[in-house]
This record gives sequence, structure tokens and C-alpha cells, in this order.
Amino acid sequence: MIEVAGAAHPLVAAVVVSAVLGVGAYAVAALETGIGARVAGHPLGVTASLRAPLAQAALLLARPAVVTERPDGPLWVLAPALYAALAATALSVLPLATDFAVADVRTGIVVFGSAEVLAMVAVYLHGWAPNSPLPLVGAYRFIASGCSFLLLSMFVLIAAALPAESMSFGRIMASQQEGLWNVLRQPLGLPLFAVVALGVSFFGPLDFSDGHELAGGTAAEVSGPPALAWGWARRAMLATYAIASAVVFLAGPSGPWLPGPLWLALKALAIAAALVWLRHTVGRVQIDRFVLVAWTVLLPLAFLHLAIAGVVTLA
Amino acid sequence: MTGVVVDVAFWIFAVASAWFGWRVFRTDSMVRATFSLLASFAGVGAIMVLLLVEYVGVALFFMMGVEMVVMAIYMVAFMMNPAGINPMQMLHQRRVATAVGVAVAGALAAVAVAADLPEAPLVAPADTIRALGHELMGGSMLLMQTVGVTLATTMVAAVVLSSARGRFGPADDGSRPPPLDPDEQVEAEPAQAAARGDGHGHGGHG
Amino acid sequence: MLTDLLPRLARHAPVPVCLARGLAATGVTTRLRADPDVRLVASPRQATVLVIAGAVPRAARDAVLRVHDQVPAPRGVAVVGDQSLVEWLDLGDVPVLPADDPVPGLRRLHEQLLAGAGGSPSRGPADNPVEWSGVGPHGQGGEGMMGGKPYGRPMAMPPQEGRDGLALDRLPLVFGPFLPALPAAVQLEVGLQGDVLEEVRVVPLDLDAGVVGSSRPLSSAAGRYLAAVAELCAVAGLDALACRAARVALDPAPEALADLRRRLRRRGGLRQATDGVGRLPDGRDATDRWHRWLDLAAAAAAGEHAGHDRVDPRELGPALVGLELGHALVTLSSLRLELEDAVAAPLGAGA
Repeated sequence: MIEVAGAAHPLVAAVVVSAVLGVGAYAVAALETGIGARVAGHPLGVTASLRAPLAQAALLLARPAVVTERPDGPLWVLAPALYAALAATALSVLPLATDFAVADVRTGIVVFGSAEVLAMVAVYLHGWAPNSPLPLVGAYRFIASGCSFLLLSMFVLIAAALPAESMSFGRIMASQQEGLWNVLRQPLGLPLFAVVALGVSFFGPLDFSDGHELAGGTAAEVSGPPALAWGWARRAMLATYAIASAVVFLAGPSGPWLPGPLWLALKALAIAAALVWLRHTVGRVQIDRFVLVAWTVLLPLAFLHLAIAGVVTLA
Repeated sequence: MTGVVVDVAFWIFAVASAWFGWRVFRTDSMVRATFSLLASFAGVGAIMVLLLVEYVGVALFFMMGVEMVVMAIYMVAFMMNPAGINPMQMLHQRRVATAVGVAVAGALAAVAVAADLPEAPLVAPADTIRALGHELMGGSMLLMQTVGVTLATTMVAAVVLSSARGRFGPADDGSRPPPLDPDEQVEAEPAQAAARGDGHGHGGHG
Repeated sequence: MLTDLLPRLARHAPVPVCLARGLAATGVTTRLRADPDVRLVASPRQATVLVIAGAVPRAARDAVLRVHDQVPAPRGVAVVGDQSLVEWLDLGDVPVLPADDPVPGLRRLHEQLLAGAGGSPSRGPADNPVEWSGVGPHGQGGEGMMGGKPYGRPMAMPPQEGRDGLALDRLPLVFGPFLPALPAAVQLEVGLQGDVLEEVRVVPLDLDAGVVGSSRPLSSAAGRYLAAVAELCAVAGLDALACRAARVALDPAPEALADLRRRLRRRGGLRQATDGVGRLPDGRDATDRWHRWLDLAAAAAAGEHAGHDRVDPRELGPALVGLELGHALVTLSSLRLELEDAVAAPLGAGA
């Protein structure tokens, strides 16, 4: 058997994962509307912010999907599905309550990292399949950014695994219940992981694959329901990363008085709000500059972070 | 999971792996071939997880993921061929490749059939990851750590060196491509090449 | 129930508009940008309504029809300005929207489409104008392993014989003239290697045949600079800030202008997208250029008219070689006013 500390029944797993991804992506979209309207200078009420994503989704459902000249049809359909499935895989290894994860496997951070790597494949295929130059350029840029931020993710997660003496996210959470939260114990971790979160879900300043200057990049040729699927999948990925950040750095679902899932939701929402605020206030970095900074500044910082985490754990 | 579920899962992944492996040679595009290969490897990774080699199985996903992505973009970088609008002939050296393929497959099958494999059912050991770490690293922990740091440093240094923005300004400032003919004047404009012949094509991947 | 609920919900979404802009269309662009009820989308695929505005070069007719066909059917079309664009494009019964208040007409068109109106039928040439399949040794439509012109598009070829046969292919492509990041009436002709430009020409559209439609620039000089800043914000992914900048462009009151300048100049904001980008031989990068726009806007609001330089697009190519495509597009976007004025110069002051 796979070594699993606690594995949910497949049916429970499917319901929980789809519910969390659905609500999470919706929350991210609502935050985007609300914070965006505030930055734009015409603040919206809570009701209007909550309604906007639904209205946008309904509009996309009402519009037709287009087909380009000689696309790779199956891959074009599969790309958003693969991307969403990877978000679901990454979510399934995270503890959602102090005593519940869909599958708290012992190789948690490796599964999470694999989902991250394969997300690169999904985005690439989404840009490649429509057989159109601007999406392909977007796909290219995503790979360039992905090869730069994936190492950061691994170093940050390994550093978090050191005090827990385990690669399971459940143990990483538990290690913070006993000691300090990782956000204090490993102060460089959360900012570095935020870079990864923005990168993987190609959001805001790191929106290399779907940028406006490329006429929407990999999404330049999608409309209607496929556009809805893609938009939902990338927000589901961002929500998954917000939850992962909350688990790894803010002790996830553990906290006094309130039930665990509520704590997790509050912490994840705070992180998601910060990421969305960055999306509306920081311009998209040029890819060449990002790659340079990632390799020459962020990666050495991640080394340093790992070394400090190791020394602190041994001390 | 019960034994039946594991058996069924094994056969699904095994057949899918073989099918995707076959697709590698049947597509007309580098990207489709590359990601078919990735799907084939992912099936093998899943089988490894079923065989309780959990860490290696999961690690196979991300190792092959990165490798195949890099391979795909290099191949498309070589031939800007968006979405395979220009179908490509993906096979070359067919006779040699067929002979080698049949021989290797036969040898592996012979090993599987003829070898004296242990029959005792495997019980999940208490801590496979720790055991794997000791097995891999064992007495050479210091060596492995040194190699790891050296490799990482080399990667960062290579990126820094290849960066267009050097410490003393643009790295390619004032440089010009060397001439094809050693006697040629450096200033001369290289002649435009004629259309490429059949011999130039994709690299040796497949 | 659901079939009833979806259209009702969809009506609350902002109208996704694809804007095909000619020269001097800042007035319309900025009004649409500033209105929360409209979303200017990056790609025609994401739009329901195509809006054609400004003084459109006659040479761009095929391009307009191509963008028209790229908006998924059922699609709406509207022009801003006068009847001449409608007659020239010959797209049937196309409404003419007033330049100073285009949004209600757009919304009406959008809601008719959601309610099931047929929309404007496709006009472009057939999808597959060039026979190509079956040509070449592998039926790939080219010479050897690459090249050829499937669908009338030239495919990648290695640019020249390399020393070791490892020369990378170069894919010839033309972008524009209606790509949102590009200044009006300009095409970008590139040889692309991956996402890096090996060869670049910034080509102004041929204006010898003249332009159609009336130009509606913003009335205030300050507004024009701020509108260009708003477009740059949108290209950099800052759509909310772009909306704010567009609103200030429509009404450049001194306090609002000062507030906008403070917000934009923050270290983390738009500068992240433009610092060090597109540094031209004069030593200025994109950040310097939009800072100058802001200064000129402030000066114009105070009654001084310093004016900006013109940049000939044809001289810009060499500075863009070796850049990543997005980097080059942001560079061009940071030269929007300078390039558009140079392109429109032959038309005289009227444009």
C-alpha cells in the first residue's frame, strides 16, 4: 500500500477537492474584482464583487468556442483539464483540517513539486495546441520562467521539511503547532514561495504566458467555455498555492477557538488577497529581467534560506 | 487498496505506457512525440508507486516533466513549427532502429521470463524513504553533498555568464560572428544559404 | 431555470470590446478604458463587439476584416465617428456611435447579441487560400524538412548556413496593425527565434491612399499624454490602474493628476514593467519616457506646451533586434505618441 497517514474515501476526496477548488477559485476572482475596483478608484460593494465573477462566467458560457486553423484539438481541450487536475493533485496532499487531508502521503512535497512541474507541460500545451504564434510565444515564456522558479519552490519546501523531519505536509503543519510558525522561523520562505505561486498560476507581475501585450498569450485564441475553464483553472491553482502557503508558513488549519478549516480559509484568504493586490499594483516584469533576477538573486537567497533552516534545525 | 484494484491499475498503466510509447513513433510532430514519451514515463512512474517504490515513482514525474519540457522547447526552438502545421517525418535510420529495438525488447523479455525472481510478497517497510536515502547515499554522503553544491553552483554560474548583461556592459558588445572560411575577411557578410536539403532535420531524439 | 438565469447573470458582466483603432482615436479609447461597464480585451477572440474608431488607413481594410472575423460569431460591429467608415467597410447595417458617449450604444448591441441576435456574418477570405498539402518529400508543404508556405504563411527556415549546421530556424511573422500593444497604423514585421526577435522592421501603414473616418483625439493636451500612460498600464497588465489613468485623462484636474503621478511613480508599480526596457540610443528607457509623458501632462495642465519628439518607426528596428517579443511590444507601447505623430505627419495637422 502507499504509505499514507490518512487517506480519504475516493468519493469524499472528489467532493472535497472539487468544492475547495471551486470555492477557492471563486474567492480569488471576487478578490480580483473587489481589489481591482478599489485600485481603479470606483470601489464596488461586496455584493457586486461577489456577483462579478458569476456574471463573467455566465457571459463566457453564453459565447461560442472558436477553432483555429489545424489546431491540436485533443491537447487544446486537455490542457485546462490537465492544469486543473494538477491543482487538485497538489491540493490533495495538503491538510485541510488538523486531522484531515485527502491523502497525507509521506512524499507530500515531492507530489506537490511534481504537480508544479507538470503544470509547465499543461501551460505549454495550451499555448502550442491552437497553432498560432502569439500563444506559442506565451508558452515559450512560461517555460523560461518555470525553469527559473521551480528550483526556488523545491528549496523552500525542503527547508520547511527540515524541522518537521518529514516530507509530509501534515507533519510540516504539526511541527509548527509545537514550535514557532515557519513564517518566523524561516522568514525568507514565504516571499520566495509567493514568487512561485504567482509564477505557476501566471498571475500579475509574473503573467508571462497570458500577458496583455501578447494579446492574451496562450489564451489569445480561446473564447467561450474553454476560456472559462482556463480562467477557472489558473485561479484554482492560485487558491491551491494560497492554501499551501498557509499550511507551510502559517501552520495551516491549527489555531485556537475556531474550527481548523475556518482558520485555514482565513489564512489562505489573507495570502490570496496579498497576491491579488500585487496583481493590481505591480506591472508585469519583463521575462529576461525575471530570469536574470531569479537565477542571480532569488536562487542564491533560496540556498541561504535552506542553509539557515538546516543550521537552525540542528541547533 | 485491495490486490485486485492494484492489479487492475497496474494493467491500465502498463497498457497506457506501451500505447503512448508506440505513439511516439506515429506522430508527425516533435511536441506530440515528446509529450507522448512523457505520458509513457508517467505510466511507469505510477506503476513504481504501485510497486511501493513511492519516492522514485513520484520523482520520476517531475524529473521526466522537466526533461521533456526542455526537450520539446529545444526541438521547437530549432524548428519554429507551431503546432505541427508542417507535418514532419519522425523516423530515421529505420532498419538499425528496428533491429536494436527488437533485440533489446527480446533480451528484456528473456530476463523477465528466465530470471529467478523472488516470490515472497513484499510488505511495506516501515520507512522506505529513509531506507532509500541510506541505500543511495550510505557512506558517500559528503561526496554527494559536494557534488550537489558543485552542480548547483555551476548552473548558476553558467546562467550568469550567459546573461546578456555582463558586469562591464552588454556581453556581446562589439562581437561579430566568425567567418565560415578561415581566409574570409571578418567584415564580409555571410552568404545567404540555399534551401536546406533533406539531410538536415531534427536531432537524435525520438 | 438555468437557461433563464445564465443570460440574466451575463448581462451584469462588462461588455468585452475589441478596439480596432486608427490614428487619433484617443478620445474613444480613453472613454472605453475609463468606463467600468466596458472591458477592452487583448484579443478579438475574447470580445463580443468590434469597435472601429479613428482615422483608419485605407490600406488596413483587409486587416479590419480579419479582426472582424476573429471575433467569435455572433459578433457585433460598431464604428465611432461618421458614416464614411460604414460605407468603406461595407459590413452592412453598422451603427455609428457618438465619440463622446459610445457606451450605451455598445451595451445595446451586446445585449441584442446575448438575446440571440444573429450578428455580423464573416467577411474575410476563405480560411485556406493556398494549396499546400502533399508538396515536398514528406507532404509537409515545404522544402526538405521545413520552409514552404502552408495557408499562405511562410514557415520557418534557417537564416543562413551556420558554421556547424546548427543555425536556428527563423519564423517570419507580421503583427498588427491592431494588436493592442502597438501604436496605431504600425505593423511589426519580425523574424522570430523562439520568443526572441532576430530581425525587426517597424513598418508604418501606407497612407498614400488616405484615411477613412474622422479623428477624435482628446481635447486636452494633458489628456493625450495621460491616455498614452493608461494604454501602457494596460499593456503591463495593470488594467485597474489603466482605468484610473483614463479617467484622469478625461478630466485632468490638478489634484487628480498629482494623485495619479504619485501612484504611478511608486517603486513597485508600473516601473517594474518598464525599468531598463527598450533603452534607445538616446539613453532613455521606457520608464524615462512615461515619466516624461507625466511631466508633459502636468505642464500642459498648467498651460505650458513643451511638446514631445517624433520617432520614425523605420529607424527603430535595429534597436529592437535581440529583444524578447513582449519586451519589444512594451517598448513600442512606451513610444506610442512619438510613433503615432511621426506616422500621421504626412496627413498634416488635420489628423
